[in-house]
Amino acid sequence: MRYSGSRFDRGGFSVPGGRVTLSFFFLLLVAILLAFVHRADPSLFERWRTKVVDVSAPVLETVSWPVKAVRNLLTDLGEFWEVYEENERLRKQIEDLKVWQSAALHYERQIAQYEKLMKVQPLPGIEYVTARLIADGGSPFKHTFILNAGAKQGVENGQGVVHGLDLIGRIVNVGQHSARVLRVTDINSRIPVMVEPSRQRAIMAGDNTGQPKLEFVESELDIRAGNRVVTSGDGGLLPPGLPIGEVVQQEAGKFRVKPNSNHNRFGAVRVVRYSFPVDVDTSVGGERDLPLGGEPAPGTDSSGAEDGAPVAGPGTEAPDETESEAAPEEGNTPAAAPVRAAENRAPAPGPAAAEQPAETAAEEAEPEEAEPEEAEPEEAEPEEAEPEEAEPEEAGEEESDTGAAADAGGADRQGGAAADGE
Amino acid sequence: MHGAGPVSGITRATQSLVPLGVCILCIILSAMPYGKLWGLSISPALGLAAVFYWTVNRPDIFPVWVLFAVGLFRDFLLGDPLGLWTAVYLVIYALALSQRMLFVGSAAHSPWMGFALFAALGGFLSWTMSSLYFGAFMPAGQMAFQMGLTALVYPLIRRIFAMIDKQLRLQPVF
Repeated sequence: MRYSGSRFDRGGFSVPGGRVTLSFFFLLLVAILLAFVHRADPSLFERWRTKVVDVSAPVLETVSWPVKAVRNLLTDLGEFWEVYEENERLRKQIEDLKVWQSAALHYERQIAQYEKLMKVQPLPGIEYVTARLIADGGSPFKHTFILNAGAKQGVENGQGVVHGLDLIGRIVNVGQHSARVLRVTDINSRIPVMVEPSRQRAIMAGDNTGQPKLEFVESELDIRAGNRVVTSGDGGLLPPGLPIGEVVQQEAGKFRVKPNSNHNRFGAVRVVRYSFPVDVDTSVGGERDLPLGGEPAPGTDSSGAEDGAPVAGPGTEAPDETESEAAPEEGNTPAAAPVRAAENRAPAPGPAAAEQPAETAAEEAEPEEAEPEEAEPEEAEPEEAEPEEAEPEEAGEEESDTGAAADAGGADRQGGAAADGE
Repeated sequence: MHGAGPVSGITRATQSLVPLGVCILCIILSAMPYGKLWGLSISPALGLAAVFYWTVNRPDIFPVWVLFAVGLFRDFLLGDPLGLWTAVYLVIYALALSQRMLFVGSAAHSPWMGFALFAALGGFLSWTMSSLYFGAFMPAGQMAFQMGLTALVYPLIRRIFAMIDKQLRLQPVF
Protein backbone atom coordinates (compact mmCIF):
# COMPACT_ATOMS: atom_id res chain seq x y z
CA MET A 1 0.00 0.00 0.00
CA ARG A 2 3.00 2.22 0.13
CA TYR A 3 3.79 4.51 -2.71
CA SER A 4 6.85 6.53 -3.43
CA GLY A 5 7.33 10.18 -3.95
CA SER A 6 4.60 11.37 -1.65
CA ARG A 7 5.35 13.79 1.11
CA PHE A 8 2.84 11.87 3.24
CA ASP A 9 4.83 8.67 3.16
CA ARG A 10 6.27 9.14 6.57
CA GLY A 11 2.83 9.57 8.04
CA GLY A 12 1.91 11.85 10.86
CA PHE A 13 -0.14 14.97 10.81
CA SER A 14 2.82 17.22 11.32
CA VAL A 15 4.67 15.84 8.32
CA PRO A 16 2.84 17.72 5.62
CA GLY A 17 4.15 20.90 7.14
CA GLY A 18 2.66 24.19 7.98
CA ARG A 19 0.83 24.60 4.71
CA VAL A 20 -1.60 21.78 5.20
CA THR A 21 -1.85 22.43 8.91
CA LEU A 22 -2.79 26.02 8.28
CA SER A 23 -5.24 25.00 5.58
CA PHE A 24 -6.72 22.47 7.93
CA PHE A 25 -7.21 24.91 10.79
CA PHE A 26 -8.49 27.55 8.44
CA LEU A 27 -11.08 25.22 6.93
CA LEU A 28 -12.06 23.88 10.34
CA LEU A 29 -12.60 27.44 11.48
CA VAL A 30 -14.70 28.14 8.39
CA ALA A 31 -16.80 25.02 9.04
CA ILE A 32 -17.48 26.01 12.64
CA LEU A 33 -18.22 29.56 11.56
CA LEU A 34 -20.67 28.26 8.97
CA ALA A 35 -22.44 26.29 11.68
CA PHE A 36 -22.78 29.41 13.83
CA VAL A 37 -24.03 31.53 10.93
CA HIS A 38 -26.45 28.81 9.88
CA ARG A 39 -27.73 28.60 13.42
CA ALA A 40 -28.28 32.35 13.51
CA ASP A 41 -30.03 32.54 10.16
CA PRO A 42 -30.79 29.26 8.39
CA SER A 43 -32.37 31.06 5.46
CA LEU A 44 -28.98 32.44 4.39
CA PHE A 45 -27.93 29.18 2.81
CA GLU A 46 -31.31 27.77 1.82
CA ARG A 47 -30.93 28.93 -1.77
CA TRP A 48 -27.66 27.04 -2.07
CA ARG A 49 -29.08 24.01 -0.39
CA THR A 50 -31.97 24.05 -2.83
CA LYS A 51 -29.56 24.30 -5.75
CA VAL A 52 -27.50 21.35 -4.53
CA VAL A 53 -30.60 19.21 -4.03
CA ASP A 54 -32.02 20.26 -7.39
CA VAL A 55 -28.81 19.39 -9.21
CA SER A 56 -28.52 16.08 -7.36
CA ALA A 57 -32.17 15.14 -7.84
CA PRO A 58 -31.78 13.33 -11.20
CA VAL A 59 -28.84 11.33 -9.81
CA LEU A 60 -30.76 10.55 -6.62
CA GLU A 61 -33.78 9.46 -8.62
CA THR A 62 -31.72 7.21 -10.87
CA VAL A 63 -29.82 5.62 -8.03
CA SER A 64 -32.91 5.15 -5.91
CA TRP A 65 -34.63 2.92 -8.49
CA PRO A 66 -32.53 -0.21 -7.97
CA VAL A 67 -32.39 0.41 -4.22
CA LYS A 68 -36.15 0.57 -4.03
CA ALA A 69 -36.58 -2.41 -6.32
CA VAL A 70 -34.35 -4.54 -4.10
CA ARG A 71 -35.98 -3.25 -0.93
CA ASN A 72 -39.46 -3.91 -2.25
CA LEU A 73 -38.46 -7.37 -3.43
CA LEU A 74 -37.08 -8.23 0.00
CA THR A 75 -40.13 -6.80 1.74
CA ASP A 76 -42.48 -8.67 -0.58
CA LEU A 77 -40.59 -11.89 -0.03
CA GLY A 78 -40.82 -11.39 3.70
CA GLU A 79 -44.53 -10.74 3.50
CA PHE A 80 -45.17 -13.69 1.22
CA TRP A 81 -45.07 -16.06 4.17
CA GLU A 82 -47.74 -14.08 5.95
CA VAL A 83 -50.06 -13.75 3.01
CA TYR A 84 -52.69 -16.12 4.39
CA GLU A 85 -52.95 -14.36 7.76
CA GLU A 86 -52.90 -11.01 5.98
CA ASN A 87 -55.74 -12.11 3.74
CA GLU A 88 -57.85 -13.15 6.70
CA ARG A 89 -57.11 -9.92 8.50
CA LEU A 90 -58.02 -7.84 5.47
CA ARG A 91 -61.29 -9.72 4.98
CA LYS A 92 -62.27 -8.93 8.53
CA GLN A 93 -61.20 -5.34 8.07
CA ILE A 94 -63.35 -5.03 4.96
CA GLU A 95 -66.36 -6.24 6.91
CA ASP A 96 -65.71 -3.65 9.59
CA LEU A 97 -65.14 -0.94 7.03
CA LYS A 98 -68.43 -1.67 5.29
CA VAL A 99 -70.17 -0.67 8.49
CA TRP A 100 -68.09 2.48 8.64
CA GLN A 101 -68.75 3.20 4.99
CA SER A 102 -72.47 2.94 5.48
CA ALA A 103 -72.30 5.31 8.44
CA ALA A 104 -69.99 7.66 6.57
CA LEU A 105 -72.23 7.90 3.53
CA HIS A 106 -75.22 8.58 5.73
CA TYR A 107 -73.47 11.30 7.67
CA GLU A 108 -71.96 12.76 4.57
CA ARG A 109 -75.43 13.41 3.20
CA GLN A 110 -76.63 14.65 6.55
CA ILE A 111 -73.70 17.01 6.97
CA ALA A 112 -74.16 18.35 3.47
CA GLN A 113 -77.77 19.15 4.30
CA TYR A 114 -76.88 20.82 7.58
CA GLU A 115 -74.17 22.84 5.87
CA LYS A 116 -76.65 23.93 3.27
CA LEU A 117 -79.17 24.91 5.92
CA MET A 118 -76.59 26.80 7.90
CA LYS A 119 -75.14 28.31 4.75
CA VAL A 120 -71.71 27.23 5.84
CA GLN A 121 -68.88 28.73 3.86
CA PRO A 122 -67.23 25.64 2.39
CA LEU A 123 -63.53 25.13 2.77
CA PRO A 124 -61.62 25.13 -0.47
CA GLY A 125 -61.01 21.76 -1.99
CA ILE A 126 -57.65 20.14 -1.57
CA GLU A 127 -55.48 19.21 -4.47
CA TYR A 128 -52.66 16.75 -4.30
CA VAL A 129 -49.35 16.41 -6.04
CA THR A 130 -48.11 12.86 -6.02
CA ALA A 131 -44.35 12.54 -5.71
CA ARG A 132 -41.80 9.86 -5.20
CA LEU A 133 -39.34 9.76 -2.34
CA ILE A 134 -35.91 9.84 -3.96
CA ALA A 135 -33.67 10.30 -0.94
CA ASP A 136 -33.96 9.71 2.74
CA GLY A 137 -32.23 12.09 5.08
CA GLY A 138 -29.69 9.53 6.14
CA SER A 139 -28.91 11.69 9.12
CA PRO A 140 -29.77 10.68 12.68
CA PHE A 141 -30.20 14.32 13.67
CA LYS A 142 -32.26 15.60 10.80
CA HIS A 143 -35.43 13.79 9.87
CA THR A 144 -35.98 14.89 6.30
CA PHE A 145 -36.44 13.33 2.92
CA ILE A 146 -36.41 14.56 -0.65
CA LEU A 147 -39.21 14.31 -3.20
CA ASN A 148 -38.96 14.41 -6.98
CA ALA A 149 -41.52 17.20 -7.30
CA GLY A 150 -40.85 20.89 -6.92
CA ALA A 151 -42.08 24.33 -7.84
CA LYS A 152 -42.69 23.24 -11.43
CA GLN A 153 -45.21 20.72 -10.17
CA GLY A 154 -46.91 23.26 -7.90
CA VAL A 155 -45.18 22.38 -4.64
CA GLU A 156 -44.73 25.26 -2.22
CA ASN A 157 -43.11 25.82 1.14
CA GLY A 158 -45.24 24.89 4.13
CA GLN A 159 -47.50 22.43 2.34
CA GLY A 160 -48.27 19.21 4.15
CA VAL A 161 -47.17 15.81 2.93
CA VAL A 162 -49.36 12.78 3.46
CA HIS A 163 -48.84 9.08 3.10
CA GLY A 164 -52.23 7.61 2.42
CA LEU A 165 -54.28 10.01 4.49
CA ASP A 166 -51.78 10.43 7.30
CA LEU A 167 -49.68 13.54 7.66
CA ILE A 168 -45.99 12.68 7.71
CA GLY A 169 -44.33 16.06 7.30
CA ARG A 170 -44.32 19.36 5.53
CA ILE A 171 -42.35 21.00 2.78
CA VAL A 172 -39.49 23.18 4.00
CA ASN A 173 -37.42 23.69 0.91
CA VAL A 174 -38.53 23.79 -2.70
CA GLY A 175 -36.41 23.58 -5.80
CA GLN A 176 -37.56 23.49 -9.40
CA HIS A 177 -37.94 19.72 -9.53
CA SER A 178 -37.32 18.64 -5.97
CA ALA A 179 -38.48 19.46 -2.48
CA ARG A 180 -37.31 18.66 1.01
CA VAL A 181 -39.82 17.39 3.53
CA LEU A 182 -39.37 17.89 7.25
CA ARG A 183 -40.84 14.91 9.06
CA VAL A 184 -43.20 15.44 11.94
CA THR A 185 -40.61 13.71 14.12
CA ASP A 186 -37.81 16.19 13.41
CA ILE A 187 -36.67 18.43 16.24
CA ASN A 188 -37.64 21.51 14.23
CA SER A 189 -41.15 20.33 13.47
CA ARG A 190 -44.12 22.02 15.16
CA ILE A 191 -47.62 21.12 14.03
CA PRO A 192 -50.82 22.55 15.51
CA VAL A 193 -52.98 19.55 16.30
CA MET A 194 -56.27 18.59 17.85
CA VAL A 195 -56.85 15.53 20.00
CA GLU A 196 -60.12 13.74 19.38
CA PRO A 197 -62.70 13.24 20.70
CA SER A 198 -62.07 15.91 23.35
CA ARG A 199 -60.98 18.39 20.63
CA GLN A 200 -58.12 19.60 22.78
CA ARG A 201 -55.76 21.86 20.89
CA ALA A 202 -52.04 21.29 21.27
CA ILE A 203 -48.75 21.63 19.49
CA MET A 204 -47.05 18.47 18.33
CA ALA A 205 -43.32 19.02 18.69
CA GLY A 206 -40.76 16.65 17.22
CA ASP A 207 -37.63 15.82 19.17
CA ASN A 208 -35.90 13.42 16.77
CA THR A 209 -37.44 10.41 18.45
CA GLY A 210 -40.04 8.29 16.71
CA GLN A 211 -42.85 9.78 18.79
CA PRO A 212 -43.27 13.57 18.89
CA LYS A 213 -44.35 15.32 22.09
CA LEU A 214 -47.67 17.01 22.71
CA GLU A 215 -47.05 20.48 24.10
CA PHE A 216 -49.27 23.34 25.24
CA VAL A 217 -52.19 21.04 25.91
CA GLU A 218 -55.26 22.93 27.07
CA SER A 219 -56.45 20.32 29.54
CA GLU A 220 -54.37 17.21 30.13
CA LEU A 221 -57.23 15.53 31.97
CA ASP A 222 -59.24 15.24 28.79
CA ILE A 223 -56.57 13.34 26.90
CA ARG A 224 -56.29 9.58 27.01
CA ALA A 225 -53.87 7.12 25.49
CA GLY A 226 -55.22 5.95 22.17
CA ASN A 227 -56.97 9.22 21.37
CA ARG A 228 -56.75 10.23 17.76
CA VAL A 229 -54.52 13.17 16.79
CA VAL A 230 -55.37 15.24 13.72
CA THR A 231 -54.25 18.59 12.37
CA SER A 232 -56.20 21.48 13.82
CA GLY A 233 -55.80 23.75 10.83
CA ASP A 234 -54.61 26.60 13.03
CA GLY A 235 -52.33 28.92 11.16
CA GLY A 236 -53.91 28.04 7.85
CA LEU A 237 -50.98 26.14 6.37
CA LEU A 238 -52.47 22.69 6.78
CA PRO A 239 -56.09 21.74 6.37
CA PRO A 240 -57.86 20.69 9.55
CA GLY A 241 -58.60 17.03 10.12
CA LEU A 242 -55.59 15.33 8.56
CA PRO A 243 -54.90 12.29 10.71
CA ILE A 244 -51.43 12.03 12.23
CA GLY A 245 -51.42 9.33 14.85
CA GLU A 246 -52.63 8.39 18.28
CA VAL A 247 -51.78 9.53 21.77
CA VAL A 248 -49.32 7.55 23.83
CA GLN A 249 -49.02 8.40 27.48
CA GLN A 250 -45.44 8.57 28.61
CA GLU A 251 -46.00 9.52 32.21
CA ALA A 252 -48.62 11.46 34.11
CA GLY A 253 -49.48 14.59 32.17
CA LYS A 254 -46.93 13.96 29.44
CA PHE A 255 -48.13 12.72 26.11
CA ARG A 256 -46.56 11.69 22.88
CA VAL A 257 -47.97 10.90 19.48
CA LYS A 258 -47.37 7.61 17.75
CA PRO A 259 -47.55 8.40 14.02
CA ASN A 260 -49.87 6.24 11.95
CA SER A 261 -47.73 5.92 8.89
CA ASN A 262 -45.05 3.31 8.65
CA HIS A 263 -41.94 4.98 7.31
CA ASN A 264 -40.62 1.68 6.08
CA ARG A 265 -43.26 1.48 3.40
CA PHE A 266 -42.94 4.91 1.87
CA GLY A 267 -42.81 4.83 -1.88
CA ALA A 268 -44.98 7.59 -3.19
CA VAL A 269 -46.42 10.35 -1.06
CA ARG A 270 -48.77 13.22 -1.76
CA VAL A 271 -48.20 16.91 -1.23
CA VAL A 272 -51.32 18.65 0.05
CA ARG A 273 -52.03 21.79 -1.92
CA TYR A 274 -54.27 23.66 0.41
CA SER A 275 -54.87 27.37 0.37
CA PHE A 276 -56.37 29.03 3.37
CA PRO A 277 -59.69 30.67 2.46
CA VAL A 278 -58.71 34.31 2.53
CA ASP A 279 -61.25 35.60 0.07
CA VAL A 280 -64.48 34.78 1.81
CA ASP A 281 -67.57 34.88 -0.32
CA THR A 282 -69.75 37.17 1.78
CA SER A 283 -72.79 36.58 -0.38
CA VAL A 284 -73.07 33.13 1.19
CA GLY A 285 -73.95 33.05 4.87
CA GLY A 286 -74.38 36.43 6.46
CA GLU A 287 -75.36 38.14 9.61
CA ARG A 288 -78.51 36.07 9.86
CA ASP A 289 -76.46 33.11 11.03
CA LEU A 290 -74.76 34.87 13.90
CA PRO A 291 -77.50 34.70 16.49
CA LEU A 292 -77.89 30.96 16.01
CA GLY A 293 -75.68 29.91 18.86
CA GLY A 294 -74.75 33.23 20.35
CA GLU A 295 -71.15 33.22 21.45
CA PRO A 296 -68.64 30.63 20.41
CA ALA A 297 -68.54 27.50 22.50
CA PRO A 298 -66.43 27.54 25.63
CA GLY A 299 -63.02 26.12 25.10
CA THR A 300 -62.96 27.05 21.47
CA ASP A 301 -60.53 29.57 20.18
CA SER A 302 -60.25 31.72 17.18
CA SER A 303 -56.85 30.89 15.94
CA GLY A 304 -57.23 33.09 12.95
CA ALA A 305 -57.62 36.04 15.22
CA GLU A 306 -54.55 34.99 17.14
CA ASP A 307 -52.48 34.73 14.06
CA GLY A 308 -53.89 37.86 12.62
CA ALA A 309 -55.19 35.79 9.75
CA PRO A 310 -58.74 36.08 8.51
CA VAL A 311 -61.05 33.27 9.42
CA ALA A 312 -63.72 31.94 7.19
CA GLY A 313 -67.03 30.98 8.69
CA PRO A 314 -70.66 31.86 8.75
CA GLY A 315 -71.18 35.47 9.50
CA THR A 316 -67.70 36.42 8.49
CA GLU A 317 -68.13 39.48 6.40
CA ALA A 318 -64.66 40.70 5.86
CA PRO A 319 -61.26 39.59 7.04
CA ASP A 320 -60.63 42.84 8.87
CA GLU A 321 -63.65 42.49 11.03
CA THR A 322 -62.72 39.06 12.22
CA GLU A 323 -59.53 40.32 13.80
CA SER A 324 -61.22 42.46 16.35
CA GLU A 325 -63.72 39.92 17.54
CA ALA A 326 -63.49 36.28 18.43
CA ALA A 327 -64.85 35.17 15.13
CA PRO A 328 -66.04 31.63 14.73
CA GLU A 329 -63.45 29.49 13.03
CA GLU A 330 -64.35 26.63 10.78
CA GLY A 331 -65.22 24.00 13.31
CA ASN A 332 -66.01 26.59 15.92
CA THR A 333 -69.17 27.94 14.45
CA PRO A 334 -71.78 28.94 16.99
CA ALA A 335 -74.13 26.27 15.77
CA ALA A 336 -71.41 23.71 16.26
CA ALA A 337 -71.19 24.48 19.96
CA PRO A 338 -73.75 21.88 21.05
CA VAL A 339 -72.06 19.38 18.79
CA ARG A 340 -68.71 20.13 20.40
CA ALA A 341 -70.15 19.86 23.88
CA ALA A 342 -71.79 16.57 23.04
CA GLU A 343 -68.62 15.16 21.52
CA ASN A 344 -66.65 15.94 24.64
CA ARG A 345 -68.83 13.57 26.56
CA ALA A 346 -68.92 10.91 23.93
CA PRO A 347 -66.80 7.80 24.08
CA ALA A 348 -64.23 7.17 21.39
CA PRO A 349 -65.91 5.90 18.26
CA GLY A 350 -65.41 2.30 17.29
CA PRO A 351 -66.86 -0.18 14.89
CA ALA A 352 -69.40 -1.29 17.47
CA ALA A 353 -70.56 2.26 17.95
CA ALA A 354 -70.84 2.69 14.24
CA GLU A 355 -73.27 -0.12 13.86
CA GLN A 356 -76.04 1.76 15.56
CA PRO A 357 -75.93 4.83 13.33
CA ALA A 358 -75.78 2.60 10.31
CA GLU A 359 -78.94 0.84 11.39
CA THR A 360 -80.70 3.97 12.43
CA ALA A 361 -79.72 5.45 9.12
CA ALA A 362 -81.71 2.77 7.38
CA GLU A 363 -84.63 3.23 9.75
CA GLU A 364 -84.69 6.98 9.49
CA ALA A 365 -84.48 6.52 5.76
CA GLU A 366 -85.33 9.11 3.20
CA PRO A 367 -88.20 11.24 4.53
CA GLU A 368 -86.16 12.92 7.20
CA GLU A 369 -83.27 13.47 4.88
CA ALA A 370 -85.42 14.85 2.13
CA GLU A 371 -87.45 17.13 4.32
CA PRO A 372 -84.89 19.77 5.26
CA GLU A 373 -84.33 20.71 1.66
CA GLU A 374 -87.94 21.66 1.26
CA ALA A 375 -88.44 22.96 4.74
CA GLU A 376 -87.78 26.48 5.85
CA PRO A 377 -84.34 26.87 7.45
CA GLU A 378 -85.93 28.42 10.53
CA GLU A 379 -88.00 25.32 11.06
CA ALA A 380 -85.17 22.96 10.56
CA GLU A 381 -82.65 24.75 12.75
CA PRO A 382 -84.14 23.77 16.08
CA GLU A 383 -83.97 20.16 14.98
CA GLU A 384 -80.22 20.17 14.82
CA ALA A 385 -79.87 21.99 18.11
CA GLU A 386 -82.36 19.76 19.82
CA PRO A 387 -80.50 16.50 20.38
CA GLU A 388 -78.36 17.76 23.21
CA GLU A 389 -81.29 19.02 25.18
CA ALA A 390 -83.50 16.04 24.48
CA GLU A 391 -81.16 13.07 24.64
CA PRO A 392 -77.61 14.18 25.22
CA GLU A 393 -76.05 10.73 25.30
CA GLU A 394 -77.46 9.67 21.99
CA ALA A 395 -76.57 12.94 20.45
CA GLY A 396 -73.05 12.71 21.73
CA GLU A 397 -72.55 9.28 20.37
CA GLU A 398 -74.03 10.13 17.08
CA GLU A 399 -72.07 13.31 16.60
CA SER A 400 -68.87 11.68 17.71
CA ASP A 401 -69.34 9.08 15.06
CA THR A 402 -70.05 11.78 12.60
CA GLY A 403 -66.63 13.24 12.97
CA ALA A 404 -64.82 9.96 12.79
CA ALA A 405 -66.80 8.57 9.94
CA ALA A 406 -66.51 11.72 7.98
CA ASP A 407 -62.78 11.73 8.57
CA ALA A 408 -62.45 8.31 7.11
CA GLY A 409 -64.43 8.99 4.05
CA GLY A 410 -64.24 12.67 3.49
CA ALA A 411 -60.72 13.79 4.25
CA ASP A 412 -59.52 12.93 0.81
CA ARG A 413 -62.38 14.79 -0.75
CA GLN A 414 -62.53 17.97 1.19
CA GLY A 415 -60.14 17.66 4.08
CA GLY A 416 -61.11 19.69 7.02
CA ALA A 417 -64.73 20.43 6.37
CA ALA A 418 -65.63 16.81 6.24
CA ALA A 419 -63.20 15.82 8.92
CA ASP A 420 -64.56 18.28 11.38
CA GLY A 421 -67.99 17.03 10.73
CA GLU A 422 -69.44 20.41 10.07
CA MET B 1 7.00 7.32 -10.30
CA HIS B 2 5.74 10.79 -9.64
CA GLY B 3 7.26 13.58 -11.59
CA ALA B 4 7.94 17.00 -10.20
CA GLY B 5 6.91 19.19 -13.13
CA PRO B 6 3.67 21.02 -13.79
CA VAL B 7 2.31 18.05 -15.74
CA SER B 8 2.42 15.83 -12.69
CA GLY B 9 0.62 18.56 -10.75
CA ILE B 10 -2.20 18.48 -13.27
CA THR B 11 -2.31 14.73 -13.09
CA ARG B 12 -2.50 14.77 -9.35
CA ALA B 13 -5.26 17.36 -9.44
CA THR B 14 -7.12 15.22 -11.93
CA GLN B 15 -6.61 12.18 -9.76
CA SER B 16 -8.05 14.11 -6.84
CA LEU B 17 -11.34 14.06 -8.67
CA VAL B 18 -11.55 10.31 -8.16
CA PRO B 19 -11.76 10.34 -4.33
CA LEU B 20 -13.98 13.40 -4.60
CA GLY B 21 -16.34 11.55 -6.93
CA VAL B 22 -16.24 8.39 -4.82
CA CYS B 23 -17.03 10.35 -1.65
CA ILE B 24 -19.93 12.17 -3.33
CA LEU B 25 -21.30 8.91 -4.67
CA CYS B 26 -21.04 7.37 -1.21
CA ILE B 27 -22.93 10.29 0.30
CA ILE B 28 -25.65 9.94 -2.34
CA LEU B 29 -25.83 6.20 -1.67
CA SER B 30 -26.11 6.79 2.05
CA ALA B 31 -29.13 9.00 1.37
CA MET B 32 -31.07 6.24 -0.33
CA PRO B 33 -34.33 5.16 1.27
CA TYR B 34 -33.26 1.74 2.46
CA GLY B 35 -36.04 1.44 4.98
CA LYS B 36 -35.90 0.52 8.62
CA LEU B 37 -34.65 -2.28 10.77
CA TRP B 38 -35.85 -2.62 14.35
CA GLY B 39 -37.39 0.82 14.03
CA LEU B 40 -34.10 2.45 13.09
CA SER B 41 -33.28 3.84 9.67
CA ILE B 42 -30.77 1.84 7.71
CA SER B 43 -28.44 4.48 6.45
CA PRO B 44 -24.76 3.59 6.76
CA ALA B 45 -22.43 6.58 6.88
CA LEU B 46 -20.71 5.65 3.64
CA GLY B 47 -19.31 9.15 3.30
CA LEU B 48 -17.36 8.75 6.51
CA ALA B 49 -16.03 5.38 5.35
CA ALA B 50 -14.85 6.92 2.07
CA VAL B 51 -13.22 9.84 3.86
CA PHE B 52 -11.38 7.47 6.18
CA TYR B 53 -10.16 5.22 3.36
CA TRP B 54 -8.84 7.94 1.11
CA THR B 55 -7.27 9.84 4.00
CA VAL B 56 -5.39 6.79 5.21
CA ASN B 57 -4.46 5.30 1.86
CA ARG B 58 -4.15 8.16 -0.60
CA PRO B 59 -3.64 11.45 1.17
CA ASP B 60 -1.57 12.58 -1.81
CA ILE B 61 -4.68 12.82 -3.98
CA PHE B 62 -7.07 13.64 -1.17
CA PRO B 63 -6.18 17.14 -0.04
CA VAL B 64 -7.99 18.89 2.73
CA TRP B 65 -9.95 21.19 0.42
CA VAL B 66 -11.44 18.17 -1.35
CA LEU B 67 -12.51 16.89 2.04
CA PHE B 68 -14.00 20.27 2.87
CA ALA B 69 -16.01 20.20 -0.37
CA VAL B 70 -17.23 16.70 0.42
CA GLY B 71 -18.33 17.76 3.89
CA LEU B 72 -20.18 20.78 2.56
CA PHE B 73 -21.89 18.68 -0.08
CA ARG B 74 -23.04 16.25 2.59
CA ASP B 75 -24.43 19.00 4.80
CA PHE B 76 -26.21 20.63 1.89
CA LEU B 77 -27.70 17.44 0.52
CA LEU B 78 -28.76 15.67 3.69
CA GLY B 79 -30.14 18.77 5.35
CA ASP B 80 -27.86 18.76 8.37
CA PRO B 81 -26.77 22.02 9.95
CA LEU B 82 -24.24 23.53 7.59
CA GLY B 83 -20.66 22.91 8.68
CA LEU B 84 -21.49 20.20 11.19
CA TRP B 85 -20.33 17.16 9.29
CA THR B 86 -17.69 19.22 7.50
CA ALA B 87 -16.07 19.86 10.87
CA VAL B 88 -16.44 16.20 11.85
CA TYR B 89 -14.79 15.08 8.61
CA LEU B 90 -11.95 17.53 9.15
CA VAL B 91 -11.25 16.25 12.66
CA ILE B 92 -11.39 12.65 11.47
CA TYR B 93 -9.08 13.59 8.60
CA ALA B 94 -6.53 15.14 10.91
CA LEU B 95 -6.52 12.25 13.38
CA ALA B 96 -6.56 9.54 10.73
CA LEU B 97 -3.70 11.24 8.90
CA SER B 98 -1.63 11.36 12.07
CA GLN B 99 -2.18 7.65 12.70
CA ARG B 100 -2.20 6.37 9.16
CA MET B 101 0.96 4.30 9.50
CA LEU B 102 -0.93 2.04 11.89
CA PHE B 103 -3.41 1.15 9.16
CA VAL B 104 -1.36 1.14 5.97
CA GLY B 105 0.18 -2.17 5.04
CA SER B 106 -0.84 -3.89 8.27
CA ALA B 107 -3.05 -6.92 8.77
CA ALA B 108 -6.54 -6.81 7.28
CA HIS B 109 -8.35 -6.52 10.61
CA SER B 110 -6.29 -3.51 11.65
CA PRO B 111 -7.92 -1.02 9.25
CA TRP B 112 -11.31 -2.40 10.18
CA MET B 113 -10.78 -1.93 13.88
CA GLY B 114 -9.22 1.42 13.19
CA PHE B 115 -12.26 2.49 11.22
CA ALA B 116 -14.60 1.21 13.93
CA LEU B 117 -12.78 3.45 16.42
CA PHE B 118 -12.93 6.42 14.09
CA ALA B 119 -16.61 5.79 13.33
CA ALA B 120 -17.33 5.80 17.04
CA LEU B 121 -15.38 9.01 17.40
CA GLY B 122 -17.18 10.58 14.43
CA GLY B 123 -20.53 9.56 15.87
CA PHE B 124 -19.67 11.00 19.25
CA LEU B 125 -18.42 14.26 17.71
CA SER B 126 -21.50 14.71 15.56
CA TRP B 127 -23.78 13.87 18.48
CA THR B 128 -22.01 16.42 20.68
CA MET B 129 -22.06 19.11 18.03
CA SER B 130 -25.71 18.45 17.16
CA SER B 131 -26.70 18.59 20.81
CA LEU B 132 -24.88 21.90 21.16
CA TYR B 133 -26.37 23.19 17.94
CA PHE B 134 -29.97 22.33 18.82
CA GLY B 135 -29.55 23.06 22.52
CA ALA B 136 -30.93 19.67 23.55
CA PHE B 137 -29.57 16.17 23.99
CA MET B 138 -30.09 14.29 20.77
CA PRO B 139 -31.17 10.65 20.88
CA ALA B 140 -27.96 8.66 20.51
CA GLY B 141 -29.53 5.32 19.49
CA GLN B 142 -29.87 6.08 15.78
CA MET B 143 -26.33 7.41 15.62
CA ALA B 144 -24.90 4.36 17.39
CA PHE B 145 -26.85 2.11 15.05
CA GLN B 146 -25.65 4.01 11.99
CA MET B 147 -22.02 3.88 13.02
CA GLY B 148 -22.22 0.20 14.00
CA LEU B 149 -23.76 -0.58 10.63
CA THR B 150 -21.08 1.40 8.83
CA ALA B 151 -18.33 -0.43 10.70
CA LEU B 152 -19.95 -3.73 9.75
CA VAL B 153 -20.04 -2.96 6.04
CA TYR B 154 -16.64 -1.27 5.97
CA PRO B 155 -14.61 -4.37 4.94
CA LEU B 156 -16.82 -4.73 1.88
CA ILE B 157 -16.65 -1.06 0.98
CA ARG B 158 -12.92 -1.05 1.56
CA ARG B 159 -12.49 -3.76 -1.06
CA ILE B 160 -14.32 -1.66 -3.61
CA PHE B 161 -12.25 1.40 -2.73
CA ALA B 162 -9.06 -0.67 -2.97
CA MET B 163 -10.03 -1.82 -6.46
CA ILE B 164 -10.52 1.77 -7.59
CA ASP B 165 -7.27 2.74 -5.92
CA LYS B 166 -5.46 -0.08 -7.69
CA GLN B 167 -6.75 1.09 -11.06
CA LEU B 168 -5.57 4.59 -10.25
CA ARG B 169 -2.09 3.38 -9.41
CA LEU B 170 -1.85 1.49 -12.68
CA GLN B 171 -2.36 4.66 -14.66
CA PRO B 172 0.88 6.08 -16.04
CA VAL B 173 2.01 9.21 -14.33
CA PHE B 174 3.68 11.86 -16.44
